[in-house]
Amino acid sequence: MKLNKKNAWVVFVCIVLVLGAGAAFAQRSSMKVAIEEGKKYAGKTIVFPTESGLFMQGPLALAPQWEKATGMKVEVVGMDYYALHDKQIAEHLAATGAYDIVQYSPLWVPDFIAAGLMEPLDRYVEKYMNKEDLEDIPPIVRKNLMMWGGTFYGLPIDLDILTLFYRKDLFEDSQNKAEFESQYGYELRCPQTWREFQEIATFFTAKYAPDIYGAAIQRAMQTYTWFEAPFVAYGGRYFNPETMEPEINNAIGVRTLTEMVEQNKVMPPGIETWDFMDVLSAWLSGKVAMIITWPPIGRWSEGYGTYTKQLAWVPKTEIAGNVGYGPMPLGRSTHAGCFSLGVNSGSKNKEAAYLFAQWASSPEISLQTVMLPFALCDPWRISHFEAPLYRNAWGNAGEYLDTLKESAMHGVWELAIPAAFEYFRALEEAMTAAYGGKDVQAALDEAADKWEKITNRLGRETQRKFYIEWLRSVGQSP
Amino acid sequence: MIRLKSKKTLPLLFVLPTMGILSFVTIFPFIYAFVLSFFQWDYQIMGRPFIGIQNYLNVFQDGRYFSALGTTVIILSAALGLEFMLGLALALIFVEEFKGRNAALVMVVLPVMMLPIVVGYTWKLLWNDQYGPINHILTGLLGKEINILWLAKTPTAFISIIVTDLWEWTPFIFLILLAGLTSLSPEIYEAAAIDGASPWARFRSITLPLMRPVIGVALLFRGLESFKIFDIIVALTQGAPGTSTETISLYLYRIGFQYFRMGYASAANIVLLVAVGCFLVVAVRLLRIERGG
Repeated sequence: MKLNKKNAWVVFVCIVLVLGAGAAFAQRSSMKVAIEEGKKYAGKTIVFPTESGLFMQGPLALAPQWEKATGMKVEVVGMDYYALHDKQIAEHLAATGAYDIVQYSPLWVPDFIAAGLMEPLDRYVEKYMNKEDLEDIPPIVRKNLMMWGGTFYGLPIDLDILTLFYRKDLFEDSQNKAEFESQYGYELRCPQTWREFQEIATFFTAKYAPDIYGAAIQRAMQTYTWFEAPFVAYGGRYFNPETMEPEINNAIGVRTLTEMVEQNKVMPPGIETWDFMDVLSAWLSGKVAMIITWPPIGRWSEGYGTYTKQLAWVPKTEIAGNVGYGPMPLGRSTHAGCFSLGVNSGSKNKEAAYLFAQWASSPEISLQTVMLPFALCDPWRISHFEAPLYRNAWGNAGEYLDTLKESAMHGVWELAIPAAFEYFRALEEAMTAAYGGKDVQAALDEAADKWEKITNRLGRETQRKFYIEWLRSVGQSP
Repeated sequence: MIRLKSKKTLPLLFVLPTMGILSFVTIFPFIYAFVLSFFQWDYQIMGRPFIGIQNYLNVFQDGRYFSALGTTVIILSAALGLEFMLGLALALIFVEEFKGRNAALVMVVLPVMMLPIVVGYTWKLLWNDQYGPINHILTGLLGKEINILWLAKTPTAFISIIVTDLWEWTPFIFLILLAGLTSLSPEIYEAAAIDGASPWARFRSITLPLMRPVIGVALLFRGLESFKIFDIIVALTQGAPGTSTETISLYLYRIGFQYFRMGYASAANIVLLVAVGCFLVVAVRLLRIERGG
């Protein structure tokens, strides 16, 4: 067809309008797009499984905003961390259609994909996500919390990074400094190595126990996460990438676990059964000099938001203004957990579920979430680490955010291959056995034997391919 | 003739819905599990292939299965023996009238009415080495600092589990034995007393023989229930340290509902069912609680 002058003008105007509309759409923030598109699903209910306890308080606090903006309903269902993995798979295999959202940690992704639970999100991201908002997410976070095998499966909401918190008042006390230096021959400071960590903990325990112990680290649930960082920092690999034989029971694994057992001896009695709450209460009441745990404790240490009703149970902080921050020794901290939101492939409201996830992870809403004092979501966007509001939330909040960012960029990612959770549970069994007095080598040999059985069951070559892919994704050469 | 037929069919019609429901909730799942046990139903494995009796062969090579079975038997034997002795002692006390008996009876029976998971978490607090009262009470009683890490070491974890189970389930055995003792005729005891039988002789020669069927039922009920111990273990230790306190039901739960190896879990369950069935036959014979025994 030959274009006459009039037609050419019409085509030109149409192109301008389309491009203009596209540009306007692209300019709109992911949050606004999610709300506008979400209105199509007014009256629908999406079911959001999440971790119970404090983590759940975030979704509970924010869901009403989404409901008001779109007319959709959000039903938040809580369960503990392990159950969140198990129940989401169980419900999907039973085809109950119970959940619309998938909340996952990166190490669960291969399991969830194998179970057919995860809906690929590329088309939604392409259609609805503002590209600038995507670029606000550090590439390492994008790669590990959003994607698997080059496909988008989720949108981050929480970047966990284990952090070392220490008591500045004890570390900067001139008498402590002098005594420590005379005993160990180096300056008392935030520990740079695991040997320093052990010696500093020993020093404080010897001097102050039972009033103050040198350190406390939870040894109950998820204790494997404290094994990962030193193991990897010492040069350990979970498997031999050629043969897929486990290497957790080699000299590096034995060294790592032996050091952990040794640490227990200078931590409060009964540390073997301590969980997150035990560490929290001991720390806030000033009974330990160092802890390695998740970032929210750093906020509560400064009394940030502890007046809220959700945190009414948290012991009053006795250490505000005296807290220093650092990565785990050797500068490698574990990304312990982390959470993203995906879409359940069995959902009848897939697009609505995606839009909610996009809204929740948008810069505006996610900043609210990571600043909610009672939620357990930690900063993950570049804009979170740089937000003036957050950096001025308390005296040294900037230092806190810089430490989290620095640790996160060099963090140790949890093994994400099929049955990763099963491998880690076997490791955890070995660790609790060693805490209970079993020989470290024997305990790790037993775990390695279980790992071999899992690998044999799932196929050595299949697992090897996944392992190599994972090594590449976390920046390690196979 | 027609009336006679309807007399036979009417009761059948009445029980049919119940039979239907029972078949649906017990027989169908059993058949389904049996069929599943011949397949590699593992959510990580594509295709779920038929593998014959391989799952069964794997069960017999699974050290952890037998270790968990052993743990269950240790807990069962210790708890059941102690529960029986304590339950019998309590029943012998409560069979007599005394002031405040009814109030005391309610107090004694209270634990059995609680959910095992609630009992587990409550006792977890009691066993806590820092804040739990057990170490404090022991410190007071023994006059020296006691700081036992009850749930962190294998021997003390076993003690904690057994004591917790004892607290909850002794009243169950006590109630059954009390009902049995109450039904014994007082005349026999009166006659024995006239004949000069000592209290111990009366207990050994009258009470125990007459109570044998009741004791058998109590032990069997409790034994079968103990075999399935789950909630208390989950709440107290999660099977730790290592897998030293992992019972068979916890292990099977993990295979089935944490690792989703349904084929293997079904085979392991069926092996267990056969084992428990054999145990039951032997127990019934030993305890002589079959009809006319």
